[in-house]
Amino acid sequence: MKRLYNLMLRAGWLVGLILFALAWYAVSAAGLVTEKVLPSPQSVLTKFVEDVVSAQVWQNIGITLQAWFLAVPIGYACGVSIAFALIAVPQVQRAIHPYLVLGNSIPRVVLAPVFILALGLGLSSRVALGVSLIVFPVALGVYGGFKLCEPALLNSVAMFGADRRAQWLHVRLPAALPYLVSNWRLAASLGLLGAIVGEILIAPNGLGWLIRIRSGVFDVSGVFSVLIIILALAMIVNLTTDAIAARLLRWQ
Amino acid sequence: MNIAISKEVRLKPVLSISHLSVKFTGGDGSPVLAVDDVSLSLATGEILCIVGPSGCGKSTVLNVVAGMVRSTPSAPVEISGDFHIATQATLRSRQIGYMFQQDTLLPWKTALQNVMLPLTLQGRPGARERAEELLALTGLEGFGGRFPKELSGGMRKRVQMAQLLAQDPEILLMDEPFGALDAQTRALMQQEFLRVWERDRKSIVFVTHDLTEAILLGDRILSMSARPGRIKREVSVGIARPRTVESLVGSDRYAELHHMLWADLQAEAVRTLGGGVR
Repeated sequence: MKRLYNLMLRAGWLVGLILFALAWYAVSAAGLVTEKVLPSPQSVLTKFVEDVVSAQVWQNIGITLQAWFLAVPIGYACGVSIAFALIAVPQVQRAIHPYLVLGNSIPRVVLAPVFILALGLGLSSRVALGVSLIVFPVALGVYGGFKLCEPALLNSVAMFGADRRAQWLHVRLPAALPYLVSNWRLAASLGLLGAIVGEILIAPNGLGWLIRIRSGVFDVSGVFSVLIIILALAMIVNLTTDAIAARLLRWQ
Repeated sequence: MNIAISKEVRLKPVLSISHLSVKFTGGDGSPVLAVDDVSLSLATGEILCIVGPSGCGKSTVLNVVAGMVRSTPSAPVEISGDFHIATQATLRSRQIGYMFQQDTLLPWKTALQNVMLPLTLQGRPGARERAEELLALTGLEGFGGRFPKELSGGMRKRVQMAQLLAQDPEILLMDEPFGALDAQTRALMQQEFLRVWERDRKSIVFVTHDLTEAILLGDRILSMSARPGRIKREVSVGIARPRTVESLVGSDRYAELHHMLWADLQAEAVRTLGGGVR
């Protein structure tokens, strides 16, 4: 029954996608919107197929993945470490929590030029931008997760003889697992944002650079094709996270 | 015979509390006396029930003994008096078990893993086999692989019981452990609890507001006054074991005890509500 439901849900999504493509086709075929703004689905598809077999495009995908896959683990590890320090040492919490809230509320993409000036046009400035995007919300989100831990559960394992380390291992960490997972998702999307924005602004290569170059010559289909590639990358990472999360959170 | 047992054990209390007073800081910053000059002693192998109106500080007494009442700068707590645990072991060496009213099973561990936890924390060998034995003893054979969310409320209580048996403490503190269950499940769990207790006769302090539960389970019953909690009466139950709810409810002694304790509770309710309850 559940299987059938899932199958139907998936079929529904597919139908939605087809309807969307048809509507897109109808709008562009009827000439309601100029090609300069909304290219036809055929031309985007043709461009996309061209891109997928192009070695140059794959090179750029590799560049973006590099920045992305460096920023996410670094930013996430920093964020989780800060959350850990906040909960473990009350003095740290009192000293830096307001700055985290402040840091989280400013739009940190404005830091991009600063990182470029400080670290140059290379990979490091884009990774730094990604990390700066990730650290603040992850630190606050995971800290919130650690804080929610049920005191009765901690008391109960303490009565069984759990020391502080064992309390973390058996209670605090698993209790925060849903938050650790959802913040990993957040980190993944912010890391991609950091990489692409950095490339659009100034980098000499990468998918963001490709968008900048193509939009510079009004190659709108080319821009859309890159968007589809980015979407596909994000989806692959998301589905992988889903699969791992489903295993880790089987008890929920 | 009952009297003989309690005389023998009265000689060596496993837990004694003398003149315990606990003062909290209330919401408005003024001190609130929660427990006032409570003294009690728990004999080896005895079940001591504490009854009293809600908010009378009966749980606070347990929490102080369990070391769960901590004074912090933002919420200072003043504890005076003394308690003495008559084992070489201290609190942190797991000689005290605590059964909470809430569900304290770890939701991310299976029933078996939950029961194994006290054993692995104490580094005892053969944790898995022992845990499986205890699950069988509490009627949960075959459910070891289930997560708590896949078990009913009564089953989760059984796992909690198996967990305490795994911990194997000398003293058990139970704070309305069956309070959150529906009436039928509660009756079943009381019977189940007595069956398991008859095997190794742990020393137990059992807090409840259910008078029938107190009479069914207890060797002695302390009734407490409304806040500040004082001990108002101490009675020996004096009904032969093994007891069952059916045999108990018809007996004269049950009626007498129930009447007496109910009168205590009612008097307290009248006192706190200023005579608003008749």
